[in-house]
Amino acid sequence: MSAFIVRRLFQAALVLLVMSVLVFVGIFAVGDPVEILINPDATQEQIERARVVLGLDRPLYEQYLHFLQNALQGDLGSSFVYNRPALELIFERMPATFELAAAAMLLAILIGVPLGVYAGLYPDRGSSKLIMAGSIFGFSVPSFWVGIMMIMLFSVYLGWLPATGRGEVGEIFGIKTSLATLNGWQHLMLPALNLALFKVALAIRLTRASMTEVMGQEFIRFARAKGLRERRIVWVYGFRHVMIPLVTVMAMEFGSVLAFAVVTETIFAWPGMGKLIIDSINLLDRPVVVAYLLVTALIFVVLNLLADLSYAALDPRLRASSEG
Amino acid sequence: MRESTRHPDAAPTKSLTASLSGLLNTPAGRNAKEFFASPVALVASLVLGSVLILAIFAPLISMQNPHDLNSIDIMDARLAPGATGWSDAYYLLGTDSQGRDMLSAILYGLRTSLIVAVTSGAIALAIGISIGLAAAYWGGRVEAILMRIVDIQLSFPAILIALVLLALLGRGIDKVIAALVFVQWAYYARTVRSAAMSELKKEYMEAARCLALSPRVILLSHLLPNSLPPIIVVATMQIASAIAIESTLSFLGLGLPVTEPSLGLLIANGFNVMMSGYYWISIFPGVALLITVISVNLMGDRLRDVLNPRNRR
Amino acid sequence: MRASHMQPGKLQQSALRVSDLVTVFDVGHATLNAVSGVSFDINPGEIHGLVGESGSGKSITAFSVMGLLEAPGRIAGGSVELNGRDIVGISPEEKRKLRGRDISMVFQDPMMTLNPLLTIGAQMIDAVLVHNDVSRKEARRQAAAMLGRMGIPSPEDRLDAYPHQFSGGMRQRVAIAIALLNKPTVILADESTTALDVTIQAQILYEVRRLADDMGTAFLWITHDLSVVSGLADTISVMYMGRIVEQGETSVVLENPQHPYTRGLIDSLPSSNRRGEPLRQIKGTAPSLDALPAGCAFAPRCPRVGPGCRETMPDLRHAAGRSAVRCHYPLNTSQNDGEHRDHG
Repeated sequence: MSAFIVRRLFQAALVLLVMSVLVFVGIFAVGDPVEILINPDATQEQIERARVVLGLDRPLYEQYLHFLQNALQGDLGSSFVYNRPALELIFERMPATFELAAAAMLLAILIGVPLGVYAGLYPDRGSSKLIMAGSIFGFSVPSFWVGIMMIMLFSVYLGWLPATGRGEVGEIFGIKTSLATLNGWQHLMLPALNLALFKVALAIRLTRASMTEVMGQEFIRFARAKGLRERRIVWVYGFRHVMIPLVTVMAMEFGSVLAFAVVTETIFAWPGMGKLIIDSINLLDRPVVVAYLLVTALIFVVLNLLADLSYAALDPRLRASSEG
Repeated sequence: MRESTRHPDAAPTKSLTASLSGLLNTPAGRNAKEFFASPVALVASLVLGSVLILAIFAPLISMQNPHDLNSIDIMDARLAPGATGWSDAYYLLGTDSQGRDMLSAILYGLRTSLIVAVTSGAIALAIGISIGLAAAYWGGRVEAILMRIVDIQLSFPAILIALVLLALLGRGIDKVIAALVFVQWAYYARTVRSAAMSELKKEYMEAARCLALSPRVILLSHLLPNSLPPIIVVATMQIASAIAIESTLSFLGLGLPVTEPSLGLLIANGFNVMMSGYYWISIFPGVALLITVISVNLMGDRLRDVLNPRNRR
Repeated sequence: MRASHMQPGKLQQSALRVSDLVTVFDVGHATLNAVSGVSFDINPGEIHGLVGESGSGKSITAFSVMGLLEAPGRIAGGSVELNGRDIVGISPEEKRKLRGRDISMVFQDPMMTLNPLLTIGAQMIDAVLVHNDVSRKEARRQAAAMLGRMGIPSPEDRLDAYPHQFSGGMRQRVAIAIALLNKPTVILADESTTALDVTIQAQILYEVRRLADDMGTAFLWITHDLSVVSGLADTISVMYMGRIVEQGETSVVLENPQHPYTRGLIDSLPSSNRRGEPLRQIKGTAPSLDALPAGCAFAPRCPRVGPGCRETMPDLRHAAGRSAVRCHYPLNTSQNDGEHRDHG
């Protein structure tokens, strides 16, 4: 088991290294930020001096090594635009994005899984078919458009919920989050729902498929032969099997939610990492883009690892094979 | 036993209906019959068909070319649907902030979106097929390395990869297609590989190998055609996904250039003025997008049920 | 070995009496008859073998008896009396209460029947607690006791193990232990030793025989393997295409088979064949359920087929001192004087 973890950690580190090279080459080999940041009337000499200050005159590989060295110490450069450490900017915005992503994921599971279980247990009912049709709708519809429509309907037309921004921040267990205030929830509702849309559909389909597959297995029939109550059979015998693929997929999808938050944050003006990255791309603020990509890569690698570990935790067959 | 003026030694002609019913009895024909048996699939196909026709013939149908700045009248900006403009032009769906006719813009936008999606899908498919077949057929180290790359790429969300690529490459339709190809190939590769692997286990593959057919013949004439069903299903879903991703990127300002407005860009423009009540600039392109993507997905869903090997008798 | 607890003079109430059971499947426009009028009677402590090829309807009979038929199957006629009470028409909740308590079932592959994600202790305790109002600790004690009875060493510890940590034979013992937990009247065993190797199979069969004798449990042992049944069952029914074609005491049926199908089954056993000679087989294959011929279902394959066979279905007739048989021209009658001739 521990050999497994060590191997996965090593792989993860390798992936991160490769990512750092790719990111570095990609970002630093394209575009010339000096042009953006310097007064267009600046003399050639001033431009050259700026280049030196920003370290842009060294050969590429030297820049990379310098970059890697700093990165491992936690220094990913300073933003050209804000003149603050890039990593600091990212971390400042991360809680907002995490909040949004977590709320969206939670909504997706709370709505999607029960619907999927129902559709899986009673696949021939009209309501089940409706649920499945709805799920196709859920992942077909371009979520940014739905977000716009939601704003139009709920904010502009009905006036129920605020259109943009994050609400007041309170504290839960010492963590600053807007989930702690009612105002926070009001602001969170629309963007979270919007972000959750695709994942709800995924949750429904995944749960339903797993459910129908599991409930057709022999051990379910045997459980019935024992005379167990149907409720217990569905949840303890059936659903526990469904949880395995569900948890692993959802863990990995969380990464996707974090990435897709970029769009939602843009629409709802949510002050998270996503909005930062779009702006940074447009302004060629390289350090921030690099920092974002690396942090994201790290998160993904960690999520993948967690997904693998949870799989082993949930399925006793994968644990130490030395027993028995 | 029809009377015929043809030469008695000539091969008998089949009537049209006989040919059609012969066609319908091929496996493909049977699948088609089953496919269209579902009312949902039928409607979706018709809708998609209409969308395709509108998109292909957009230049002929629409009243103006929204790319041609000369044909747009800025004085007609932000007119509500059904309004008539300065030059007595009738704007069925209104105009946007530049004075473009929404209907024309939507039709051209659909065209662009579909071209981008289908082109990138086709290229990604070609790449994916090559890699997937290679991995399945040669196995061993080749497969391990290829699939590792595929897995790593697939563990990153498409939107992020596309975002970064476009940030690097800049704007332009060719760059968008490139980015979409990059995002999609891995998915195709994985599907092709698993389809090919289950085909490889079958006896006809062993027979082909025993006959010492060249790998090229085996791969192209035997393995590929039989692996097609799941590939077709995935291709359908991927095209829908490509349309959605492209419009999202355009919305964010990263995709197609401003001069070739795609649906995403139209929606973005509409978003900016939405609060002032000009709702139509965002809604209509979105609806067009919605209809297209849903139709493709519904068809793909039905295709999956029809082509499911477990359903094959 | 006869059930030793049978008291002379007392009228035996049958443990399980199935009468004219009919089970059908509604598929599309057609209704397929999977089981067409099957009857048998099992007394407490008796082991009754149900023998037939796959597709003969023997598993479906078992599922019908247990109330485990899934759509589109349904019981279309007949009765199933458990301890004298007809359980065909009772409510699903009542059926559920009987399952695992008065009537249990053991399936073929224990790796598939035991839930791989739960410890076997959890699965056994489930079976106890759902039917008995006892404490968890008591349920656990009962489970461990039953495991021990089935010959599993250190049962207390093994309760916390998962199914994949047991060998195939052990798993099947666990499955049988679960079936026995609430001391049911009848246990249905569907190909329960088919997936095991011969030595393990022999051990389990021995256990089963012992249990029937000691606990008075009745068994319906379903199998396609005549050799299993010959050493184990007191009485047997031979099934073909949803009907019983021969029925009676095992020794009588196997030594003096009357139905050509039974004869064919016996002859095709490897042990019945002489070394060096080609293995004898029953000609042809069983037809599919939607293409059942009129008249006797075995006629197309029967070496003794004669006039009337293809037109009318024979009744199950019981002659004194012999097995009951469903055949127009059974063996050991005037037509053939005990031999069988090839007609085709």
